[in-house]
Amino acid sequence: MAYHSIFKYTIQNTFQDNRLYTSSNIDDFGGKWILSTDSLGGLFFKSGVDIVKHQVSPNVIDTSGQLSNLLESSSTQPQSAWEASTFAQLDGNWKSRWRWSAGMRISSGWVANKTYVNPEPRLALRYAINERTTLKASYSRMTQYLHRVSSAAVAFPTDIWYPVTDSIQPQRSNQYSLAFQHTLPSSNVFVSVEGYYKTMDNLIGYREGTNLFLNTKFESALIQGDGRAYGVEVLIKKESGKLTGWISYTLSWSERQFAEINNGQWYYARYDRRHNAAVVANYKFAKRWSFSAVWEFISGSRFTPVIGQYAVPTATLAGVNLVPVYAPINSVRLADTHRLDLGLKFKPMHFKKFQGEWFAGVYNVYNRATPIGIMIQPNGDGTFKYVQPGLFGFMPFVSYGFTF
Amino acid sequence: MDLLFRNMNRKAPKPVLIIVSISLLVMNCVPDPIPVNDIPKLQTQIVVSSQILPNQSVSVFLTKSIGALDAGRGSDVTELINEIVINDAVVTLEHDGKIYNLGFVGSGAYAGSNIPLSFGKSYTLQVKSPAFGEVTSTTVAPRQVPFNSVDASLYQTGYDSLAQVKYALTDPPEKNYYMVNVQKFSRKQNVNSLLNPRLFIHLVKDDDFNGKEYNEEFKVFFQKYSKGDTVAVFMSNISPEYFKYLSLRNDNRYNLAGFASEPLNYPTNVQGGYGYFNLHVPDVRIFVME
Repeated sequence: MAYHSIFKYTIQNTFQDNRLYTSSNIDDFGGKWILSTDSLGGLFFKSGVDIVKHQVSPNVIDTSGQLSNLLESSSTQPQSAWEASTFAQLDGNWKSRWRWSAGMRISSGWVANKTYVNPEPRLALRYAINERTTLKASYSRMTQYLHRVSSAAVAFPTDIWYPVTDSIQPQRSNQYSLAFQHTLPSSNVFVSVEGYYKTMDNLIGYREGTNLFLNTKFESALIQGDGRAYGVEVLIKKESGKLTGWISYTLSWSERQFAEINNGQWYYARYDRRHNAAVVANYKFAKRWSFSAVWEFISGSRFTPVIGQYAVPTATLAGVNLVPVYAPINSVRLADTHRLDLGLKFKPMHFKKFQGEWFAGVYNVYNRATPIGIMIQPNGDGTFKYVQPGLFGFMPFVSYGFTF
Repeated sequence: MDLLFRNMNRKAPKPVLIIVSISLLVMNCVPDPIPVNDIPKLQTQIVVSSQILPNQSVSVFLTKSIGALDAGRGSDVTELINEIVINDAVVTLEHDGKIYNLGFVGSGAYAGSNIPLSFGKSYTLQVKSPAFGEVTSTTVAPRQVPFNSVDASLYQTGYDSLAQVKYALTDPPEKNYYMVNVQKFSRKQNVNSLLNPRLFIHLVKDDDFNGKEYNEEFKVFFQKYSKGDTVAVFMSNISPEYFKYLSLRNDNRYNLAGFASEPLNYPTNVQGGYGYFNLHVPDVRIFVME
């Protein structure tokens, strides 16, 4: 299979004789080939190769007119990176209770003056205690050659993607997991409890104080560090009957360590969200009608607010500047996010090959905000307050989907 | 009145009306902000600023840090300064084994004259305040580098009237870092514009002209200049640490909304406090725009 994908955004402003053009885009050209067979004496074998060229132009800024005296055009050049991998995976059974899957992927990334090669082994074991109860264990290593760079300051919709370069290393992770799974005999309810531990290195982030708006020296603002994440996931799922759905709960931790941030000490990641719970129910109350409800709760993400300030006279003694003082990085939690979505599904009579489905409902029924940050706002009487604005309120919707 | 509402559906609603109605419905559904609780409080610390006055005396300005909600855009500067100045401190400057006292001169300012400024030598400031504790700071006095020549004039863009500055200097052989400031003075200066003024700071490193003569021309943005305006151009040879601090401040000059940059607590050379203790000597030239 060969493919070509393009992602691009541009913002252009013109004022008087000044012009500001910003863009970020990714062009991927690639192909993959996969071979699989089950004729190896009861074993299932799968292998393949994959090659892709990333052409990335991150944060290109072009200025003209007087503005170019104030803001020079971008010094960050378009980046090219080739990524190739080959893998082989073997699945099989041992005696009657064991199933296993072992694989190896060798991935590589090539940039102008450097080649990165990374072995990515993986192993999964499954032991059936009885017909309804199993234990699982797995290990996997993964490498990523295209990085998503997110801001710690606020959740912008314009995250930037950046490939490996001579100085930007590939990101790697090692994940270990253990799971217990059981199906209740009377009700076909499936229960799973899984613990995981994940280490990450060469994670990418911004240097402290990096200007995210119109930054023309982008690569020099990038830093790399380590991460770790661990937690427990519980899932209770009912897949048959008039009432189906699941209840899930995850208790997790996520931490980061960058030499240039927080004096090199570990700190909580922005998306360290301690509790994540969801209740999803679907009730089929007539032949063509069903009702669905989703309630989700997620602990607030972490944030670094301004907690103080100090005044310093300007160099010309003609005024006073207030310099902000921030809390320790990601030390404050935003408010918890929770919402209820309700929906009604109707399946009209279908023709031989054409099947349609109406779905109407309400997103975020009780209009609870999903906070994006903590800002300071004047009250209008000379005093100030913290505010926590949010997005994604009450939203009715109607959709029609069809297959043919 | 037609109580049977027989004519109500004579005309279908126009698409514009439907779009406006849906937009209003969606806008009304923007969720209310959530109250903010549990923001940690900043511990109050001493803030140090310093300046060499034209008569070569050393002056130090002491204030205290404040909470994030204690001041902001629109705050009364005079009131703010009166609230934060530290007037109870004992301030001394140690240099070459001698200790010089800086006397209190009012409103958080302390000054000392007859302190010899030896370029390239180290000076240690010590501040002891019964109310706010003790801080120390050490800096090296950079050599004063004057303008060889400087000129400020009006520059018309066709849309705006800006200031244009041309200057020349002779760079000494050591590594040097320069700060050039342009300040407009007006009789009608609004006292509120004294808080977070848009001071133009131009920073130059001598990487490309070390030990040579250097001249440059730049334009001053964010201020409208007119014929008859009085403009002061300052140039100082500053310490590399202060240059880095000012570079970080300059990088965040567009961060008007407060969240367009990664959080950063600016560096300081004050042990146990905030601010910068500097001993650079500016060269100041005044111009009336023509």
